[in-house]
Amino acid sequence: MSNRQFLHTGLVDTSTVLKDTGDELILLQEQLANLVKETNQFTYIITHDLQAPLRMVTGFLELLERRYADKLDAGAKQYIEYSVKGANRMKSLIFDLLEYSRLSSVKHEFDVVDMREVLEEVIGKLSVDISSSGADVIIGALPGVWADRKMMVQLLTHLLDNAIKFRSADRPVIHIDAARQNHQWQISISDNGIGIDPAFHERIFDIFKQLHPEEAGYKGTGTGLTVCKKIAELHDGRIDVFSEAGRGSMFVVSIPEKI
Amino acid sequence: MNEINILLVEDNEGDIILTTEAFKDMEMENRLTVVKNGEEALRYLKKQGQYEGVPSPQLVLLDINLPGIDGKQLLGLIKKDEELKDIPVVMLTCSEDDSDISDCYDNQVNWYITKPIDYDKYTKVMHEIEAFYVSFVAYNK
Repeated sequence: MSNRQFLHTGLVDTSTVLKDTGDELILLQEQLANLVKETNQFTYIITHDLQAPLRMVTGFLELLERRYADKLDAGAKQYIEYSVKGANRMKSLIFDLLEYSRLSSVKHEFDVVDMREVLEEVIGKLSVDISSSGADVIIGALPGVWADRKMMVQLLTHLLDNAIKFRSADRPVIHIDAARQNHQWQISISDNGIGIDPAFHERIFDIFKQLHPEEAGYKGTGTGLTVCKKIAELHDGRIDVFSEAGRGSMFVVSIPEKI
Repeated sequence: MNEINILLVEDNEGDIILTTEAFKDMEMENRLTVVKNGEEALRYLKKQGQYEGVPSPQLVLLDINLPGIDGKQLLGLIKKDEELKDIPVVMLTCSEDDSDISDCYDNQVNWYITKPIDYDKYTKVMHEIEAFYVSFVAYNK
């Protein structure tokens, strides 16, 4: 075989391999897209269908308490109390899982969203917690961003709620600000709360992972930051945490100026 | 206020009991008739067969998930029927699924409520349904 022939055969082989690889990639991409779609549907259907039986449990426990109160002794009432507590916990878990799964299953409506307006709405929603904690919320200049408004409300609600919830002994001081860098908007929320040890920085974004259990007085199921991360990703962006234990936290959400 | 005749279309035995009990806990006595599927609901509404001579319901509570003709289909049939279309229909559903809600509004549902998780709220919802009915009747007079 001459060198030329050898080269030719080699090129033909390479192009065939490249073509096959390309076809394979397209196929894998399709499979991945289907898998993501199925997983989202699956989570959604499960949470949806779990609600009906849960309603039976909570509904009848309460009815039992109401209608048979005089026939139940202290022990029985305590059992009911534990069951109600468990059922309520499950209700929160399902509710929060539903919030998370809806992010992917619901149609998004992108538009220019005034983040200052969004924040004002969020502050209104959390006004009871803000005033009861005595939190000082300091707002910088916030931009209009290309986003889904509902999701921006969810995002800031979770972040502000966390900043209040995980406060230290000091009065909470929360700064919300924005900066523009490399065609990205960076919305930051920083607080003077209890902070997070860097060892846990990755784990806090996992679903149902809580660093501080409910028994320690922190209400929640551990879905807030998972929802925030998902929202950032659905906007082709990301969320980062800068924090150390005892030194407050800063969360930075970066989203492209326009997708 | 006078007694309201309510038709509950619901297949889940537990939900039937919870709704009936919630009505019992209310001050006002309403007449609640229960049918368990869409076909039976249609026969009742049209007073066919065993339902000959029954009083017309003034309000229909309709579960969205029914065997056979489902809640949304039944809603469509009621709202297309000249005789039945003026009966207010309240849709009962387990979820706040956006697509469910918009489907129902397309079929001119009068009100849409999500079944509450706890019994206390069940009673509240039944009160709300009654209040809805009162305002609906006043508005459509």
